[in-house]
Amino acid sequence: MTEPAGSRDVDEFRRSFAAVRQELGRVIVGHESLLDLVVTALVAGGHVLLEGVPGLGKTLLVRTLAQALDLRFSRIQFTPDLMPADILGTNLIVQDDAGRRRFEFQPGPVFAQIVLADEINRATPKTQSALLEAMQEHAVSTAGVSRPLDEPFFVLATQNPIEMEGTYPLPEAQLDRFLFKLRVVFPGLDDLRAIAERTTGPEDPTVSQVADAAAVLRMQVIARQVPVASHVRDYAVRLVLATHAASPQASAAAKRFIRYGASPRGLQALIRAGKVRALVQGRLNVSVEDIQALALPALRHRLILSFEGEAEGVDPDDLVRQAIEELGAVPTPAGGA
Amino acid sequence: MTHEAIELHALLHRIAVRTGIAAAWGIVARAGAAAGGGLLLWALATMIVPVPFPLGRSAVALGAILAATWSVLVWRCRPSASVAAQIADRRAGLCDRLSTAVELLARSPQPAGLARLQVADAVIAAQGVEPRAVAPLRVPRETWLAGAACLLLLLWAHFLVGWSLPATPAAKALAVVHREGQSVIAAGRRLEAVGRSQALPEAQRLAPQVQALGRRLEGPRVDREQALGLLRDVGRQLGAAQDLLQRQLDASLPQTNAPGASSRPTSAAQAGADGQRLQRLDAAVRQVRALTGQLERGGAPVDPQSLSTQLRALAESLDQMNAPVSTRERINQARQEAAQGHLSAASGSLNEAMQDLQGLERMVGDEQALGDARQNVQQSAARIAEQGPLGGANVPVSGEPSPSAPPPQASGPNPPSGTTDETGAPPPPGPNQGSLPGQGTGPQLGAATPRLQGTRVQVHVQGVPGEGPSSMREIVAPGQGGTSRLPAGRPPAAVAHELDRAMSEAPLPPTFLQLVRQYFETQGGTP
Repeated sequence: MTEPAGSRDVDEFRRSFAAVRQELGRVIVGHESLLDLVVTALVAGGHVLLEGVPGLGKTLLVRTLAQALDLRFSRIQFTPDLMPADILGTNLIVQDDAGRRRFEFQPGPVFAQIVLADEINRATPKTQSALLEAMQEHAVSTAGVSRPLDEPFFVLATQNPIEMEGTYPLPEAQLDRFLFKLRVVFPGLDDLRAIAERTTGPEDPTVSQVADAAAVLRMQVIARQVPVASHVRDYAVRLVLATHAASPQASAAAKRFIRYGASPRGLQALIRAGKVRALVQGRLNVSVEDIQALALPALRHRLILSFEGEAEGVDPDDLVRQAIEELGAVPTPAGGA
Repeated sequence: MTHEAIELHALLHRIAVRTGIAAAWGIVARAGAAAGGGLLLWALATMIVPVPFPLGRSAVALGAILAATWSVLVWRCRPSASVAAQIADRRAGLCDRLSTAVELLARSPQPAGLARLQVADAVIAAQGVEPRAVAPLRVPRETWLAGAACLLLLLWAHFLVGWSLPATPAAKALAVVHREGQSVIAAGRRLEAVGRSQALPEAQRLAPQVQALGRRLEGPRVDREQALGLLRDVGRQLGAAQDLLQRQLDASLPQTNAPGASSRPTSAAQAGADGQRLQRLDAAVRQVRALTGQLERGGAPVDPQSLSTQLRALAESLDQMNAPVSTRERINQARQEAAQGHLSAASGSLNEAMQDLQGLERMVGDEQALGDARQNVQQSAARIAEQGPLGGANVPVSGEPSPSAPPPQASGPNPPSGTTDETGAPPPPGPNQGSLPGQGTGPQLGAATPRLQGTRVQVHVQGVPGEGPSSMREIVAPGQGGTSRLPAGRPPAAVAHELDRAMSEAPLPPTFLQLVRQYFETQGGTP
């Protein structure tokens, strides 16, 4: 049974989150909300899919995060010829000093705590799906043996939205396992100046460890205890249903452009991430504003557009925004003016 | 319940009450605006169709309904603590702190862990919440609409009530009211003339009211319902006075009903009975006056036997008409005095009997005049009511005879051609009485002037007021003197009638009135 958190735990949570966030900001220039959401996903126990052109500091972000938390980090460069065993690991025949041969499991790069799946859409679906069990169950099954991964386990995948030739779009089941899909935008003028100044000087910025795996796990436990009011939960449910064309709560755009809406994992993502955001914002309860703020990163990759939506190049972000607008800010209470 | 929970619920209760009041106020304001608009349309419709519009009663009823509705709505619209918390969260920007705390407290009065911290955080946040700011009691926009509707209604009541658009059913109904006003004025004048000529107290008292009613109906701003109400009021007053006279007459001069006749005669039967009674009284008065003149002339000698026979016949006639006992006693007394040869004393007794009979005659005349006036008022009310709330079918606009009158039979030098008038409608039915020659229209002639049938009693007063004694002499008939002081006895019916009327108008308790009545009856020797 989970031990109830006290005010000291909450203070520790906020202090750790702020420290991690500060360390990331010391290395990564700009991308403030992106950094917030990455740490939020880590504390919420989810994984993140980063979408952006190369050279925007995705790898640096993951490495900095691992250094700040003192977590084991591995990077997998996904290519078309990458095989599942290259990720998960394989059984090798090993001969000991006595001359006896035996199979010994050689863990793959997934056996880390922070995994960077770089350009994940370049691997074949077979290889992509090798991550399914690891991401969902935090375990890897090979040769009939299930091997748990070390906690916290955090996958940060990237994909290039421009070079689409020779890529394999992630299947829906794979996409659904990411808590957030974050878009890394190109930095602005000031950010570029800061990048040039910070990365071309005589010394690279150093990262100090501000937390460890135990602290992250403790933060995850505290976050899960944040209470959610029923009307806030109902709002999240109605928002998810608003992305389903067949639902009575569906928005007009959803009925036209969406083939399949967000899954229950989307609802879970909204609530779990909302709890972390509430604590970070200095509250001890999830609010409707939290749900609205997290709707785009939590739902955009879960919407499967219809043929019409694909043909017209509809942005899922617009569909989510329209669903929020049609849903209203807050359900109108009876008796209120 | 913890102190925090009590504090939180106290705040939410205040917010809920204010929210309920605001919601109820909004609903009532909308309803009031709609109702005010409806009343305004109704008021304006009365300028086209003569529909009744009781503004005062409608306003009072509407106000009462809205007040009751407001009270119920305040109670019904008061949100629950959870909803009040959501309202406060939204309006005070508390990010669902209060609503979450209310829910946590509902789950467990003593929450633990983060829930306890959350409740404490919500209480701290609630301390900065001002119920007036979160649930303000603003005047809804619809209130101004309702106020404007009320103002327009007041302006309508002040400036436009009773007005009608020309050539509309309302104008036609108004014309009928005006015409009936003329008719009522004429009835009032007739009543006044009859009262003055016959010295009828009730007729003289009520005639000005009837005439005032007629003038009010002739006025420019009176609608159909108002006219009917005024006519009802005056008719009621006339009826009350008539009933009082009727009761006094029944007490002084009881009628003999035929066996099997209804105990409550109809108005026609009553009018017939009154006429018959008046004729009998008139005949009796003439007979007494003739006998008195015969006794007082003193020219030719009077045969006591013949006089006694005539007085016996008169007494029998009075017996048949149930004349008052005192009158009959005085006739018998005169007969005995005449038989004994005391002709002067017999003349005095006959004079007294004649005064009694004349008093009764005046009461009957008073009652009859009031009945006529009341009938005229009722007929006017009926003619106005015949038009119906939507103005009726064929209503003459002005100066035309009443539709209830018989058809015209004008045969003057320029008889009306055809059966259509200016509006194309056939001329209204009615008698030729009062129509202009050849026109078929015109004011009605008044009723025939009633003949003066009573004996005029002149009162002469000698002396200068304030200087020495004054003496009064009553002249019963021209050249005939009488006593100025009557012996104690039962007062004449007219005097009793006057006294009764005066006492009924005096603000005295009934027991006191009864004492006064007993005193005078004892003095008069009434058994």
